[in-house]
Amino acid sequence: MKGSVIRGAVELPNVRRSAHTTEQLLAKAFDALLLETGVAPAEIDGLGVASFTLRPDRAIDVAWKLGLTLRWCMDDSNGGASGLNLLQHALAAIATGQARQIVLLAGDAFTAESFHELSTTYNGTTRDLLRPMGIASPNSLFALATQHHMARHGLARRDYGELVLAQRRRAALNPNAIYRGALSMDDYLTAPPVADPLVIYDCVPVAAGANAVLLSAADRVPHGEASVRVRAFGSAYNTDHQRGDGLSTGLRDVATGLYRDAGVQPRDIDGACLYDDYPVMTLVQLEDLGLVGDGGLARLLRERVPADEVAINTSGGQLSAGQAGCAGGLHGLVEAVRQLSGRCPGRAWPRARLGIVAGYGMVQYRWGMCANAAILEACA
Amino acid sequence: MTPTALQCRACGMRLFPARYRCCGCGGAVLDPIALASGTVMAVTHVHRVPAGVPYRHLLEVRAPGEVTVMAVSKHEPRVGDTVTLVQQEDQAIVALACPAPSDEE
Repeated sequence: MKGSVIRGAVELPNVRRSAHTTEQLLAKAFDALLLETGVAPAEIDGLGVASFTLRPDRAIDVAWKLGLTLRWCMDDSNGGASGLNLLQHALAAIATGQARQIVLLAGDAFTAESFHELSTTYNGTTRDLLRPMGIASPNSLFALATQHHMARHGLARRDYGELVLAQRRRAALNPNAIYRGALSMDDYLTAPPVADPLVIYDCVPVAAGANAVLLSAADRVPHGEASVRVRAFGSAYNTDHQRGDGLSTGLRDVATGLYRDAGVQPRDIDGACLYDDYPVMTLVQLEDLGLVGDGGLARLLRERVPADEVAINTSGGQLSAGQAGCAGGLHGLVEAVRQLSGRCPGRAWPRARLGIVAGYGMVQYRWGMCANAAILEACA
Repeated sequence: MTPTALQCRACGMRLFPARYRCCGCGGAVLDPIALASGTVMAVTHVHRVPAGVPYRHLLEVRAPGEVTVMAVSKHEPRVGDTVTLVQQEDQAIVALACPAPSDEE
């Protein structure tokens, strides 16, 4: 998409518990972004914020506290889809001249009380139908989806474990990841169960953290600065209306157009950052986006993933890096932007010209309602 | 009580949980229809259970009309079992492991 580029992307180290409030974490991510990009606050005229726990404040309150005078401002709380949702609107804002330099912030710092509040009143269906059953949480819902996925593809628990282990190996190279210690297949197979067949390593760990991204009109970018262009974007909501088996997302509906608009093929993609609340959903997104490759999921998981031949969730993903609420929705974009702009020393993709990022989330009754994806390109 | 779905008067699609319009045809006239029983499609044994919750199994139950209902059970049914669906006062839907003699149809 001509006219705008992503100039910077940062993420604070995720932690299990933070002494800071959500707003303080967002402010810290903002500071880190300015430090990295060298952009002054006065140059920023747009702000988008994604958070579950920012209330009673909203994006405009964050802008005021950061001293920003804006022409464009929006909130988004669509969980795992919020980060790319903000990106979609920010691209349109710059393309139509509504803003010239936009910062996207995402983050959450849960307390025990705020996490309980979120998880039991996530939406009306959760509050009215799932919560009263006591055990109907995302973990148990995606356990059911994993069972269906295992049956459809003839996969065993250790196949999902290969993906978990591969992401942990990547996390060991990411200083911002919460869990960086080595994990063996035996560790995985004997881990405490959560909801059959899921064990603790299959379930995204709740974290506190924040991240930030800067988009600018292309003519604002100094010559020679490493930046990233969005070549194509697609989103789809409620494509199955919670019917069926949940083993495809809205990405299946947008994939063809996404690659067409980008002028590339799945085989051209150098790295994929997909929303990994559970391993099964990473695999579903890989399929939806045509990224599984020859031999199907079995070959991918039994040969290419164990050999680290594919660049999938190279930050460690949320499964190892942690899920800081809505920051999880921006996590993949931050990783892809940093990879494509040469900011991941020691863990760079073998080739970093094109990347794909996907968001997924907002569990309604059985699984997520939202999916979105962007194909990114390193600017020469 | 028996859980209730909605059936679109225009196209016949059944919807659960309740909505304002049919996602199949956009119809706005939706009639309540009881979900008395269904077939267990998947079961997960939940190991981390909050204090005071008596259930250990979350079920995916397919009711007539391609409606899927999430239900809980104290006992572990098998996939393929027919279960009776009961909605408690707190709205939780419980699957009872006894075959229903007939459903709402």
